[in-house]
Amino acid sequence: MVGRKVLLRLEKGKANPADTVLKVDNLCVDNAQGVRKVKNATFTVRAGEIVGVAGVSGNGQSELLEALGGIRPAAEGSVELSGQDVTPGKGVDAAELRRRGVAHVPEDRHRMAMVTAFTAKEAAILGYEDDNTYQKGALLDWDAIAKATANMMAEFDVRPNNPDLKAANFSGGNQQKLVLAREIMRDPELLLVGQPTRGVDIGAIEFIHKRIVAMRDAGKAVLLVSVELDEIMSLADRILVMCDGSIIGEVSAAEANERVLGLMMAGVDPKEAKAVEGQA
Amino acid sequence: MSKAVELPRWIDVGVLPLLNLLLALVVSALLVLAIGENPVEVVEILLFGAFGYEEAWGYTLYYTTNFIFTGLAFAVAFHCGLFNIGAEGQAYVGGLGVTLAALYLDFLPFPIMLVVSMLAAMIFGAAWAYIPAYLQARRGSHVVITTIMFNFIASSLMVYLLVNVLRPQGSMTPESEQIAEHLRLPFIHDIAGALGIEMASSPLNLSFVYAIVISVMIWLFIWHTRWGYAIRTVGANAVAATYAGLEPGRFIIIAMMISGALSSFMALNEVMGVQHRLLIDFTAGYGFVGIAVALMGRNHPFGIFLAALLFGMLYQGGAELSFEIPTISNDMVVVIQGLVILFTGAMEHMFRPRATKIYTAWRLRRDAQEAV
Repeated sequence: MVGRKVLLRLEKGKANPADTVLKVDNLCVDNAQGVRKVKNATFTVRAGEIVGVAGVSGNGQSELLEALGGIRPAAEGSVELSGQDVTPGKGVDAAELRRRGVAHVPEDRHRMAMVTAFTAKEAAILGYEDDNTYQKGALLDWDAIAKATANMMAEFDVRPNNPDLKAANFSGGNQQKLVLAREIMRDPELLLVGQPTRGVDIGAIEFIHKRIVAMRDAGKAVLLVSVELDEIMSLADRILVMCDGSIIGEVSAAEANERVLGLMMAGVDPKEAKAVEGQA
Repeated sequence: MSKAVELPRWIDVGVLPLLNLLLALVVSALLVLAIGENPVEVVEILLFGAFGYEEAWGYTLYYTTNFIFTGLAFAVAFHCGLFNIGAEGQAYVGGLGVTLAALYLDFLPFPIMLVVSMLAAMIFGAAWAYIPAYLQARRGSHVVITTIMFNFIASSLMVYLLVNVLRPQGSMTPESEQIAEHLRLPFIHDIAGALGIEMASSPLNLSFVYAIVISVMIWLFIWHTRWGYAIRTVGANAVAATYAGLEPGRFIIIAMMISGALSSFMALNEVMGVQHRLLIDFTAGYGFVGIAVALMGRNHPFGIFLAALLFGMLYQGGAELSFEIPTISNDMVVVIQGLVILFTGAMEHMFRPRATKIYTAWRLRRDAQEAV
């Protein structure tokens, strides 16, 4: 965006993880072609912590996120949300997970997070069109929706603050902020967020990072998937590294650096990776 | 940056279609000149034939009614990203529903029958659309292929039923028995007559009013209900719909069934309103022209109304034209209709780049002047 690497250091306090919100056990996910993209993933995310998933793009992070968001069924394994079974597939789709307090900011905003042909207010209710405050009898209450959208836009500094403007006419950063506003302002128990700042300008990146940390500090669970190691390292409290569909290890934020993560992302055993790092 | 400005609505839905229409008429005029007739006279006869006298109005609006139903039918499916070219077959089978209800439930009083026949049309039309919809949603068979095949199946099925089942004994024409007099939709001239207004008789009947009501309901449905929102989401971006928890297959089936039901309302006009029996091929291509009507009307009920009126005018005025000027055969009228479809439907974006350029230049100049 600016032609050089920009150091983004985020001031954030210590995490205070509480109860387990998301419990993923032995989860396997296949893609549309039937290729197994997530292999036996097992991990937890607790309230009040950000768990990052690092990996080279295409190593199963996308499918993992989509499965947890209810878009892709689980081939094997189980997912629990605050102790209740929400294994994606039969009966548990994206709508059901939303009702249970899972918000999902997908990796690709144009392909998945919004309909660019819609106006901002139409885009701002995607997935929440059933919400009671948006209804007026049998019809959608567009006045209320426009008001709610203007509120989202003000809160997340989406410019211009015009709920009637076509979504396609906003800049990438503003589109992303609108998607984040839609998901975060629902006050979910679990936020799934993929590539939150891809193609987003510097100012917006800082803003988005702050909001994600604010979610954590409010005692929510956050699962962050990103291919930007800087982003993962500055946001996450724990980092899971994926390679070829498997989670090959976990690194705490304190011991994470580019070398360790990079070696693990290439499939090097975590112990070995840390040992290599020790020698260096 | 010289980024093109988005065209305002009045140019997009007003000026551009008019330009296209004008171009179609210019090309038609050249054709008329080529066969040695005077285009000005032709336009005069066409317009007079369509709007010049009371009866002409009646016929024009009667054709318009059919086009509104088939245009709306196409539009609803189109909002879901589906190209339903099966309105013809769906209307045909819907006609069967109307006829069966009218023939076998003729003991019911008219107001109840009005609702029952509408329901019968809807159920039959929607059911006929359901099969291609199911195949598209769950089996991935493309709806363009299956709906056109279903037109042929409907055609064969109806010929069989009309010849072997519905044809009254002793009759040699493949058509059903007449429906009871008290079940027919009243003609507008009869309604006007009852109110003491003298009107020339025409096939225009109550279904025109119904078409207007349905247009408003479809407008509300598409833009002001959750299902309409879901249908538009699936049509614009099926992946985003899945992400939102709106299962695309479900809404594909819903949109197609509504589309089929809307097509079948054409049968109310034809069977209950005008012919008073089921005729072979009573759909007469209205289902296909509905595609052009919807595309020209930008899939908006108001646009569809205007486009339907245009095609109603072309049908009625065209009939008058081939009657008045023998050298202009019926086929020539079809060519003119075809040109209108070509320029307003298939080539609707022809003027867009130029119009955008001119409008952008005008905006820039105006902004510059304001800045001074």
